Amino acid sequence: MAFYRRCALLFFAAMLGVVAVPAVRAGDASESIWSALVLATNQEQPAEPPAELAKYAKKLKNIFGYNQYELLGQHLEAMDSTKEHWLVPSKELFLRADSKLEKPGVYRLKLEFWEEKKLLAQMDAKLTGQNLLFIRGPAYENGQLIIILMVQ
Amino acid sequence: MKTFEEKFTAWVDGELKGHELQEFEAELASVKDAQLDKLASRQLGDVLREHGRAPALQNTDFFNHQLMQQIEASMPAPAEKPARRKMGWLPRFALASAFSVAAALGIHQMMGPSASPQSALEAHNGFQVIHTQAGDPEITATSFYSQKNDVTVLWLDGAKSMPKKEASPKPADKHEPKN
Repeated sequence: MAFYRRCALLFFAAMLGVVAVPAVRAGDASESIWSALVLATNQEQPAEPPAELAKYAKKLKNIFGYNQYELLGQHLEAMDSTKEHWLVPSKELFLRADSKLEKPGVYRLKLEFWEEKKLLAQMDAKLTGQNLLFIRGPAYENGQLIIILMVQ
Repeated sequence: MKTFEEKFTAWVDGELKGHELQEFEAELASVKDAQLDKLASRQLGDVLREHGRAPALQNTDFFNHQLMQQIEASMPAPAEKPARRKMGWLPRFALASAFSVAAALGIHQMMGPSASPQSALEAHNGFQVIHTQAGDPEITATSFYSQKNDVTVLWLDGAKSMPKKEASPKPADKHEPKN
């Protein structure tokens, strides 16, 4: 009987570790959303991307192909509870984000991409951990408007 | 002159012969059954009293010992208790451990994101796209995950080009990404 009692204790200890560790790890930091409006163009003499975009420049080039990326606006919003967020990197193009904490470390995010009063697209997504999203927006002049969304 | 009982005993033992036998059998026919039964019982009791005693045992201990040996020999041998092996607990412990790991993995799977093929493709970098829809019939919205660049992309096609004056950006504020 003592053997089975020890086995049961070991089992429940292991189960507690499996359940508790990810929950503590996922809930130990509050998330925030950084959004940026970027103008992508092809230039004969492309300028270096700004510091905020430096880490995304290679990915942007691989995805969209332009050789210059200019930061038009950016916004940082804390995402610490169930609420509506307006991510406004520019006056004309902005994102509405409804976030809901489903469980520690997991958010349900409803994104709406607006051009002034016109809804261009909406997206329903689930976020866990660090997330990076590129949105290819409308064309602008001889380039392309891109929105970067970083959940961190 | 023999009594009736003596004749009866002789008749039972087959000792009556000839004329004596005929006379006794004729006499016997007139005797009632109850008297014959009584006589037979009495004679049986005399025989038992004379020969019915068990002989006295002279070596009772030896007799008991012999008897016990025969009884033990006739009994099936009890199953031998298996010798306790060294590390005999190991298989049970391994079984319990395997069960614990399997249960833990099952719970971990249940707690994690759903694992449909479509969502699994889009669940990289923690951005699981569940639904995408364009707000304008002329616009198509497609989402995909670039594994090479580890980024999820929402690709809008058909959106009208924005005139330059409308795309005037607001000045970049001081917020910067944390990493």
